[in-house]
Amino acid sequence: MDSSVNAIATVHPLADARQWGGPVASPDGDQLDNIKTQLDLVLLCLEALTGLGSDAMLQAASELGVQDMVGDRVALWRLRQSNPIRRGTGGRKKLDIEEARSLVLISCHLAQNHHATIRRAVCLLEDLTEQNRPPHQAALLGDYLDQFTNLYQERMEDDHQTPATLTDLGLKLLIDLLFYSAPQGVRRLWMALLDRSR
Amino acid sequence: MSVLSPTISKLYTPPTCTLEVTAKASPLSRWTRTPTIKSLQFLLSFDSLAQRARDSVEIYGDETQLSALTETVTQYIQTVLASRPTDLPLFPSEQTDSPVPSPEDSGAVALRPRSLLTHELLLGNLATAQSGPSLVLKASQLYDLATALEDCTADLQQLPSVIAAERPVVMPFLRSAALVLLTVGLGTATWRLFQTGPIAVNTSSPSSTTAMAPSATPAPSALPPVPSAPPRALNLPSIQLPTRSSNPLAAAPSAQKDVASSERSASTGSTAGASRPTKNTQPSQTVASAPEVRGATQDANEQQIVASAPSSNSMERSRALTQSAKSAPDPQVAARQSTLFDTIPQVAEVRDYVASRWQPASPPPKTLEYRVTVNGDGSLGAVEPLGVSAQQYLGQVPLPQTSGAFVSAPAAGSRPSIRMLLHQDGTVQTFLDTTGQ
Repeated sequence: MDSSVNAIATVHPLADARQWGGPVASPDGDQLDNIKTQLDLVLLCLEALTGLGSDAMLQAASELGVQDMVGDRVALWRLRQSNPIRRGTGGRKKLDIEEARSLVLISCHLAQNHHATIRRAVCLLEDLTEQNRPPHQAALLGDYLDQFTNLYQERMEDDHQTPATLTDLGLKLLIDLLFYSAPQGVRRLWMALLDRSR
Repeated sequence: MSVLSPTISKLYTPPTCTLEVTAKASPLSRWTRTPTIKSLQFLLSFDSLAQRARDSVEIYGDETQLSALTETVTQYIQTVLASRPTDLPLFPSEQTDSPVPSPEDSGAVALRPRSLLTHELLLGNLATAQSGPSLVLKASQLYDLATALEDCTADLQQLPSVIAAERPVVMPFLRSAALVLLTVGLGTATWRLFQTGPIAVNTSSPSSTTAMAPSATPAPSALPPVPSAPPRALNLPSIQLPTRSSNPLAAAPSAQKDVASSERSASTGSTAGASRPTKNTQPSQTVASAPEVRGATQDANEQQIVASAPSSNSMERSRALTQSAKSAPDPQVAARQSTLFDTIPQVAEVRDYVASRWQPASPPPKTLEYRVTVNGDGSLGAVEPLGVSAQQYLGQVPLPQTSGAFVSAPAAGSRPSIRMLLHQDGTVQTFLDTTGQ
């Protein structure tokens, strides 16, 4: 692994330690469960805000050179279905470290591609909040929150969430997405996943 | 010094702030590929802050303060990202605008959240009368600030102290020759850590040996094993010796101690790093690293430098290691021990040649630095003094006439350029600058 890390010109994106904030820590089982959920939610946030679908994710996987991990819709679905709070029993529940890192790369790549939209949404939220107005009053934010809530309730088996808590979750993910859309996004997302899973 | 010091300036302009970084180009920049800087200063302007709708607020500081600000912002963002949706309210609660930092933190920059979307930057020793003790940043402003700081950090890491090396290139030094001495000394001291038993050269200065030994814990796999065969005399150069004999290469014990204490202070469990780069390799022990340019994390670029600089002639170095390990404890032989930087034979040969002849009429005021070019037939190609003092002492440097016999012929087609340092204590250090292929 060290030799692959040092060969910058030919390094596999998953092996480039610079992106991950140094030597990658390997989460244990419980941490990995939490990571699966968080990763799925980041992608859900992107879907709800930008309308992108599995095609865009597969395209990103190809551009990033991780198509061996995420080669087709079925593979992508299986990886996302590993989220323990997802509805359904048909998907596999395993997600190894390399697959998780692939999803991190894909998420941040897509976030970077849609940085302008993400930033506009966050700036709108800042303006409305300064004026003490609810976020739904801006069309972009209103549509995003509606779509996020619908997708979450449709896909997740989580009865603890109310519309208000889902709004909070959606807004938190939106703001986080802004930071993941930066060049340092991969490192930030990966470290955040590890930190939140402790 | 008559060399001009032009100012280098760079602007980082995300939408809501502007970071301007200025530095002076070191005189050494004339002989380096990219500018070598010193005296870095920064000016950070925030636009349209919440409490100052039309004014831009400016703060400024030096390199240390910039580094502290960058680290604070980076770590804070990570903390925010790790927080849960319920940790912070969407709307900030009513509170005063002027928090009172604790006395012990009055100089430190800090960040704390006010809401999901607003964050308070406590300026510490960056505060001015205009800025006040703190600024409130929106999420987008925090993002822009982090972007500017991280872009600046990335650019600083590309300066000549860290060079992406396709070839073993000696890094130009960012500061004075004293820093050069420290860096090279650290590498030499680290190399010497792995000299053991009867093979060890440094036998007559117990203090320096003792000083160096506890300061590093080499990885057992990082070096080839020291052979136990009977030592034999070899004609190898050395850059350090504990005693001063007839060999002018011998370093003063005080120099050894300085190197040892520097090595103690700078190295924490480093490996030799010469034969195999690891993620624990201390960048400061390589020629290619920048002591003052540190990323928050291990930089794979630095790791590649560690990999490429010593390993380009790994067979030769291994041979040198083995040969030096077998050398007898003969002062003459001990005086000419190979170093980590002898990536080609000519590096050691130049050092040998000059060291055995270097006897300045008066000690130079500082370390003298030269670039010595070797022709394809081993004769002297050119000597370039680097710096005013080097220019002044050029006539006293014992080098042959151009095209005269000098060292062995280098590899076919190459005209290596070797950086040579002549220290005030009479020692000579050399390392490969370019292979000239």
